[in-house]
Amino acid sequence: MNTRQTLVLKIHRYSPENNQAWVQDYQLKVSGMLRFTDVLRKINQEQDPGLAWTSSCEHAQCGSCSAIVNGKPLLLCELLVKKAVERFKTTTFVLEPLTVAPVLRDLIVDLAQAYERVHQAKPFIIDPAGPPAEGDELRIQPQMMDHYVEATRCINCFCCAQACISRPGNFLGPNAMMANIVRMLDPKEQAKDERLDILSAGNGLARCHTARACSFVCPKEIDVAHFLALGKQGKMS
Amino acid sequence: MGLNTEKNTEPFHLQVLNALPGVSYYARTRGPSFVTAWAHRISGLILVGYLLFHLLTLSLLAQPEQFEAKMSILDTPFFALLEFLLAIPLIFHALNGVRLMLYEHFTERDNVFMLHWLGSLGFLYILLLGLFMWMGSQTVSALFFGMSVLAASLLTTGFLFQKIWWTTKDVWWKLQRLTAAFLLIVLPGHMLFMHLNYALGHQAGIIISRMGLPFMQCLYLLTVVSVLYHAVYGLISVIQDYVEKRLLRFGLIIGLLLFTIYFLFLGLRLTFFIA
Repeated sequence: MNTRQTLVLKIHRYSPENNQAWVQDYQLKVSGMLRFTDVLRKINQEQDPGLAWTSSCEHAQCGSCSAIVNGKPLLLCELLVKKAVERFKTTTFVLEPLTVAPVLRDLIVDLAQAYERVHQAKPFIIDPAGPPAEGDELRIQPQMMDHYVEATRCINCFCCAQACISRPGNFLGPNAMMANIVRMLDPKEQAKDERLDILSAGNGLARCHTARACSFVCPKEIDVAHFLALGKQGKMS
Repeated sequence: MGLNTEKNTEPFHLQVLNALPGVSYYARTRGPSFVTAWAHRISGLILVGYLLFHLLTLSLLAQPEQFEAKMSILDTPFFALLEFLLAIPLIFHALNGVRLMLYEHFTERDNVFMLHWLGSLGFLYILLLGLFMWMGSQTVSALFFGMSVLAASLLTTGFLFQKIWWTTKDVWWKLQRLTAAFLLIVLPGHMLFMHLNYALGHQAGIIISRMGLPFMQCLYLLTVVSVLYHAVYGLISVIQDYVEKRLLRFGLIIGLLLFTIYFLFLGLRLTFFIA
């Protein structure tokens, strides 16, 4: 049923021009079937064209619309108004930008800085194995791929890094660690030792305390903590 | 595929955690295991505080009259209750540590099952300790008890050693896990032993004569080194998690290490020179 809701949005805003931060209230009546990205667009159109936020695919595939809603990091494009009211049991929502990177304006953060940490974990095959002598291609059995295919759904939305018990400045982050571990599990990867060095560094797995907030908040429902535990277990084949 | 065990265990935990004011916010937004992780840290800090107090108090054994005078202050029902309550963070920290090790090293992902056992065993331990304190005059040979505890602890440590030693290059982290395995039985065992006869634990002569046994000296040495290593690693870990300024982080770690050296000195003096 398409019920209408009167929402109060308390949005954390930031202006880089005068380095000012404040919380601005918006009240609007919306359909329960709208997503929060639609609600923000409606604010832009009807109340405040200056409110800055980001989104790209709006299908929970790019991770650019991550924000904190009533304390929980999530994707705004995935959050229906109706579901949000049910889940948080309120029609008042506090929207904050992620703190995994500096805020550029309002709900927009400098994701390039957050991605720097992912790049340090080398999210690519460093040293790919060549084809076997007896065939043309390196084949991966489905049973083997089952061990890590779930982790390949990660979109680097940084919700896990936001929720993590360790601060992002000192930890590469659950998504970055998983990006490393998934390639450790990949039979094509030969540079296992280099990957182990990344995991064993001071900003690596030692900063993971299995608080499992990463798994709890992951919008893609990946059990991130499970993969990080595999990294600690050394189960790499 | 797509089995996110943290999300699947949500309702069980939330029923308990939602009843606790101040905690339910984190349980809803970060998950129940996040709250448990913070409880692990807080219980660790309480135990570190008690450890320092314990070492400072025991260092008074060098002057037995002073020690007994201090003990006479602590020999009240209120302090007995505090000592009993100390069992809660101790057994929680120990058993939750087991849960983490089962998760991280033994692929045990059934959080509900593990928390059920954590609660049951913890409750049983606290009940047993309370019973011993209430009965008040049980005795057991210190040597026999110490040998049993040491054998069990070394077996647990050895078992974990062969499981984790070749998994990662971070030696300090592995030592933290191994000291955890060693202390898992030693510390709850030590607490039970000391409360078999509560009054005897406050008599300087009895403690000094027990510490004169070479076997007990070895056991206490291993315990003091393990507990200080485990505590300082935990504290350094908290610093490394939250202090982002390099210089401040370095200064705090150096200060902490100096502090630890002092308490290690106290512990070693206590182990080898009091008797």
